[in-house]
Amino acid sequence: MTKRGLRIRCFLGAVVILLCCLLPNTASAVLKRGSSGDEVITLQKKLKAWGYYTGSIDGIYGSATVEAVKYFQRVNGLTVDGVVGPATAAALGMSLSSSSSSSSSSSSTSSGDTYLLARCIYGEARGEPYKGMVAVGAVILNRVKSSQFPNSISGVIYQSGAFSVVSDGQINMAPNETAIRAAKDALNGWDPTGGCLYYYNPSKTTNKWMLSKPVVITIGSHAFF
Amino acid sequence: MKKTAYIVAIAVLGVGLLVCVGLLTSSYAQLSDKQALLNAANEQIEQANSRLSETDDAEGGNAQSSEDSSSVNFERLYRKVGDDINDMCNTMSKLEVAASPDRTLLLLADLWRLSGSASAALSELPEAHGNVGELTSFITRAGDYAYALMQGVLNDRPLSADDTEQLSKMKEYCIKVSESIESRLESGQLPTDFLDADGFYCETNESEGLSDIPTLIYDGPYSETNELLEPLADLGGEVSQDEALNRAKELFPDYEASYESLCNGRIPTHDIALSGEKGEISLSLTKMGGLPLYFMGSPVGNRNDAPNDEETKRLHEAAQTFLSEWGYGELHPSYAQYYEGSVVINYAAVQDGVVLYSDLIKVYVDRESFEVFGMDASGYCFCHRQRELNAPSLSQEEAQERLSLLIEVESVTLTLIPKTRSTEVLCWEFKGKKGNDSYIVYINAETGAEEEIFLVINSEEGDLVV
Repeated sequence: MTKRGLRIRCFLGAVVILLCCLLPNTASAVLKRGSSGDEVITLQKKLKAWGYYTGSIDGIYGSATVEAVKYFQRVNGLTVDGVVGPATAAALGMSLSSSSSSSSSSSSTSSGDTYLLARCIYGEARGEPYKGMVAVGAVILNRVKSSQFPNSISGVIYQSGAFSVVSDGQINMAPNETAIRAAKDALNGWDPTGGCLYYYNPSKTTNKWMLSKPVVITIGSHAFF
Repeated sequence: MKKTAYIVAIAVLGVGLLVCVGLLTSSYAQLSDKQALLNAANEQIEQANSRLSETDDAEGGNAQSSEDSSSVNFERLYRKVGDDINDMCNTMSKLEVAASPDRTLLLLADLWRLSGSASAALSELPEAHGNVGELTSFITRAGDYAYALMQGVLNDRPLSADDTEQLSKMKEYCIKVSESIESRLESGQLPTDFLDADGFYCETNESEGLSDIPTLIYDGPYSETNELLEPLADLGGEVSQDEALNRAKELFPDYEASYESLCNGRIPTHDIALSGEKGEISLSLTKMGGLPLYFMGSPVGNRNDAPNDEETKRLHEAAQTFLSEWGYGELHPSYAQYYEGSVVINYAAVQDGVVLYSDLIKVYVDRESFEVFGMDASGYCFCHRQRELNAPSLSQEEAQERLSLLIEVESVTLTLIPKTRSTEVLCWEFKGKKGNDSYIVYINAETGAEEEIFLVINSEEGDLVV
């Protein structure tokens, strides 16, 4: 190798090292092995709460976190690569780096609200026709708009006694893509019930108050009024 | 020459290495700080966990203590509701003698804030819906009403005689509620168990002396007039089941149509199920007029990423073609969202060059096949009618003077926006940017007031407007 060649190689090596110094400073829109920070903490908390992760919540994306993310991806039909990209983040109900949310207006919803709505729909209406799943979401949103019920999606869902999936824990199951899509369609305004605030399953309920009300529409196994 | 070149290269290498080391040590330092904090937090979590598991294991006595803590929490919430309503009564008494608009405004703001706090606490109580629903409605409307009055005062409309009368009726009722909560707290008659569905949805007797809730007459999102609003559009004469079925077959000739049911919702509809080679579609035609209220199939794929410019153009074209085939007149596309394989484009009707935002049609286009698979015309069916539009008092330039100087304007349109569900106002719509944020500001075309400011959030799913 010529001396000139050696010079060039040294120079290139220096440039490469300099460039490598700059890389860690760019914000990433994915979380993967080696990431650290608040978003990793949020990720680990969620996975731990749902039983996918058993390690400590240390904000460091190590091999235990990778395994947990892969487990989550496997169960939820996502590409199993151990990396939290947009699809996995959406399924987790997280938004990464870029988008910020929140205004104080009561009509704004965060991606967390969408995911909570999807979980409630999944718990209450999985197995129902798609229209029935959107209808459950629409009932929740109609309650938010009504003066008689709490003024937020989480307030309506967690109101004591309102939804059985809250008291029996089914609301903590991860929703499938159909439920997530149903939640988004309901948030977009599709209301197959025409404004209903209540629903019940006629073959399962003995609740006299509900059975006494005139039914507006029946979709699948739910009667709405 | 060679020597200097070598020296330069080695110097650069050395600097590079130093910078690397520097960054690594600083981030390591941060990490170990965070690690220490996290370890401390983890320890606390472990301790709390072990305490909890101890109470789980023990029988009898410890189960009692967790029940006590939730009843303590409910008692706190009842007291909060009682206190907030009591404070509302005091605020209303002060409003009766407030002589200046400034003080009136501040008292109304207090009333609005207290109503929000009380209704939030009410929503957490383990009360049957029959007991708490009407009261929640009253408290929410009281706050809503205070907000509407605030807007009046800001626009030089002081409280009228009707307003003061409504406020005094509100106060009388709030005193009754506050006293009732107080007496229930003292006599220990409060439900303290978490409810199940049978408890929540049950027949209730008239709550002791708390009937006769005053009706508040005002214009706001939760007001009774707006909650019970009938469709504003004249849709046409009643259409029978058979006529509806025939209409469905006309609109979807490639599908088998079968009648499902009548839906007696806000806008009564005939619901029809369609099935064909491409899949199933749910269709709803309005009972009055037989107009399509919505139809929904499902998209082929489930892509979530943003469409590129060429795709966007094709998607818009597909939606426009569909809308003109179905006979909708001039429409103006506003924002779009994309998720789960679909793109939803919002269209608003146009009259004399003014965009009528209440008359909305949402078109759902499939990302893969560029076919329209769904439509939601509930806004359009509810609101679309010929409006009496006056020419704007302010010209575009005059309105732009009312805009914040920080906004770089990108486009301007004359629009009619809903102020409440039953009132609309003519506005100049300015879309612009301030730095990286996009805004839409509506300036009243008569008064120049800033009616609304929207922030456009470019999220992963399209442009959401909040």
